[in-house]
Amino acid sequence: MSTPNAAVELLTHNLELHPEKIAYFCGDKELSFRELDKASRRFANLLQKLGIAPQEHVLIALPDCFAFPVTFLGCLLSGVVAVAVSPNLSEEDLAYIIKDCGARLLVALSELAAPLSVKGNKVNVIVCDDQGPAEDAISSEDFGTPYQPLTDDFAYMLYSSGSTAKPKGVPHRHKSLLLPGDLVGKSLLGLTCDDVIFSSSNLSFAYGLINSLAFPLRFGATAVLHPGKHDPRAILGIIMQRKPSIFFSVPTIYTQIILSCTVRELKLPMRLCCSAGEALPAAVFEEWQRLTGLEIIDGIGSTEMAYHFISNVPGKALAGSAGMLVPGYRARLVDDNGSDVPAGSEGSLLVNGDTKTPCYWNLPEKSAETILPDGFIRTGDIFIERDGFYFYRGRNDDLIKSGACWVSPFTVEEVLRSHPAVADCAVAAVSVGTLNKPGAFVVLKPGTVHTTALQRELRAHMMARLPKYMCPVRFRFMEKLPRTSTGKIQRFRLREKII
Amino acid sequence: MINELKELMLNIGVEERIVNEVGPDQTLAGRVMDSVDYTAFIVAIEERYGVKVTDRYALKLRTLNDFKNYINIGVE
Repeated sequence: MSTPNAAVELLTHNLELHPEKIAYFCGDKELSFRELDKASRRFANLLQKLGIAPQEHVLIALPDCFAFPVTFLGCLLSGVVAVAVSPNLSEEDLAYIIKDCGARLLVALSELAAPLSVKGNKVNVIVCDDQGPAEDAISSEDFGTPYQPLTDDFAYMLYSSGSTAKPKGVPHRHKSLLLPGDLVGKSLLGLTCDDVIFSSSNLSFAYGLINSLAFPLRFGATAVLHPGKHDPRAILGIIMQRKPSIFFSVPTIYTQIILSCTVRELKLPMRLCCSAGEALPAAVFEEWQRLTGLEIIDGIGSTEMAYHFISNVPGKALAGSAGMLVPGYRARLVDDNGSDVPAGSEGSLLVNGDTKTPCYWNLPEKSAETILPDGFIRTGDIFIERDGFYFYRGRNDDLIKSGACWVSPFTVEEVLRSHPAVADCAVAAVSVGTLNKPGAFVVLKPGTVHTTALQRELRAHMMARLPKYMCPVRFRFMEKLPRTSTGKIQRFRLREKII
Repeated sequence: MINELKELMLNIGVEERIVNEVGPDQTLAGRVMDSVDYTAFIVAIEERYGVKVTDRYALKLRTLNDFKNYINIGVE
């Protein structure tokens, strides 16, 4: 059975209604819906000329610039699965993902330092500028009929960190790009073609992908892309220049804007401010409202569910809550035995809905562990529900969400253990206010003394080897770590609960 | 105490040149410390001075003088 091609659904109506309208701003440049359509078809044509067949994988490692939607939509038009990853991945992680998904083509802003091959075939690299691949080799006119997907065909795939060091591929069907437009964009946020959307979260994340690609194209709105750093000054500068009506961001950015603000009141052009990625502290909601007069609409989603399944609603947002179940989704809070918890009790959140991934790529055991036989997905989050509102209480596994990004304790521990002073270590969530951050618990080698200088050295060691958001905010020194009788570290005993 | 706070900034990895240049009434967010530094700074202050910085107060602590005043109230 066939299903609509998401790229066709998202592009065609805009071409008919307002082809010259600006689809994207990026810096001082503009891209109209007509230009977006033409460039996407050109890229689809290139894929066909390169012999990339439908359902094969192309890896897109680009920042938020025109080239991202162009190449992403071009993949979908030709039936190729667009695998979107951060452009800031190390070459080691990039190589892992390319081999895991079997990508034959990489789209990036620069060549790889060392050539890669998958199953004996060299991985080609298309180097883009911020507009897309070079024009001279390909034409949009040669592209024929867009690919007609089958219901079970994949459209795109994202990678999500797990509690082990290796990321997991999360494939999605075409409907995962289309349904959030109705379930959240229209029904909850009231998005229209008059909106200008600015998301500080990158397109390579599920949140940013729907915010900056699915939503604007679905409604014929204009989106603002920012490939640069997410510091509060740059973000406020874009907001003042482009005057978005909708701003999507994360608690860390809202906090940093509040802290960097030297005026008593901040007049902003938005009608809606939205947040996701990690729990929004009530204090941040309240201070933002005092400063700007605007609510922050917090919600929670996941890469596995493609977008939000719990969300606040404009005009009725509740500080400290992730909101209510989005109509169209189902949720349960269960205990360790899988039974529903009594009302008002903490439970592990399971969720189900039409935007869910059917599996983790090449990980049947992990898929079976996370996606239950009845279709519900274990989120790993602990919540309390009161009067329909969900309140976040932490994780029931070792993963840490810091700055809206997943942190695998294994990855951090491996780096920490490589320091000559460290005999053993564990990384677990520590609470700072109502947010979780990675905290390090360290056993030093015999004869090594815990000093301020050593602590500075450990911190510098981590920052030189890991992205900053993964670096522990605190080092606690211990005689020994809690372990099971078989020697496994019991991180849950070190984990601090959110109060 | 401002010097002690600057020592903590060095401990959490803020560049020495930036720490030397920052004034006691200069806004720290963005130019001096990013979000990760801020969190590590708050944790370091909590451990050093035995005070608890709640979310509500954390949003009001913009300068080194703000932190100094908060710590002094907490310690008293």
